[in-house]
Amino acid sequence: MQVKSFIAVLFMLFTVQISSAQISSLDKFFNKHQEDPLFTVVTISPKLFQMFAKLDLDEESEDVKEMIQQITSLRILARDSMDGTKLYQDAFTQLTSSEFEELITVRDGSENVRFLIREDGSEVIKQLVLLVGGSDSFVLLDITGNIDLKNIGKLGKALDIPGGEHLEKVGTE
Amino acid sequence: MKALLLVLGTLFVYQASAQSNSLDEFFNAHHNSEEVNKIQLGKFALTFAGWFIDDPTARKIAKKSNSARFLITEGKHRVTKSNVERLFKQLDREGFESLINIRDGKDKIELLILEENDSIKNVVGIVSSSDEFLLANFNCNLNKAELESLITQSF
Repeated sequence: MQVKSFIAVLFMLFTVQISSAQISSLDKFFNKHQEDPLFTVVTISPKLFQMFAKLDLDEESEDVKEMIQQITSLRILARDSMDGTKLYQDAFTQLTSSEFEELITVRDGSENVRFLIREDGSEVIKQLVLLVGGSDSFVLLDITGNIDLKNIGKLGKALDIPGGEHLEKVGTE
Repeated sequence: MKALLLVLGTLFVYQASAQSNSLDEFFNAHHNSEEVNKIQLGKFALTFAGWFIDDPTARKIAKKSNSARFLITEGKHRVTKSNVERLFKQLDREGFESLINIRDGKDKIELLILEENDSIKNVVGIVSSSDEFLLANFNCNLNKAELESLITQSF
């Protein structure tokens, strides 16, 4: 009986370990590169999005406001003046080996662009990752929240962030 | 007379409650060097300074702030990474929350706020690079409507 309990506990611990490892593959990728001074890293905290969600901004930004209200956090890892192809491939391999699925692949000039999503099982997109790899740049943009793919492009325009110009492709493809 | 002293004492305590002990310590630890510039402005000075600021957003921030202080270092005096990390940990314990963090090469920018009862009571901005450091701290009382106005004006 004691052995069975011990095995059950070990099994549960093992399962938890695997689950946490799968969830944090993106975190691992970020952690690996975010201290490297060659990368630009931007992190917008949930707090800022919460503040935006409470504000009554003017009507012209109503769509953007609605979009922002559903976002919980945003982070960007970017590097230019380097061949981003290998990093792009490494990121894609790591993310799709865990809980991310590929949504769209686009080739835009010399850049490869991929959108990956994570759903919560109820077809609500909880996380959108944009990967851009080109001959002279790499961008990883990670957005979490309840994401509306039709309007996510407006967020890119409003925030003027690296890789943001590619977000419009999600709604149109 | 007693009532007046009590009210004044309460106001002083209220004012002090939005101050940060860790920021006070940080300022005190770094202001003695010749390569450090420390500027402190009270309410009157901020209002006065606001008359000369062209940017409407900055002018509004100056008007709504009770006090502001700046610590600027350059040259040989270094604010080390561990100094800054220690400050962030202390600010976190005091209830400050990070809004945005940007690192571009060796340059870093971070913006933190302290919120109480849906009003922003304290704002800290830190800009650091390999040879310069700036810490700006505003003690204020910005409510939601004022923040909306600031943001709308900025964009």
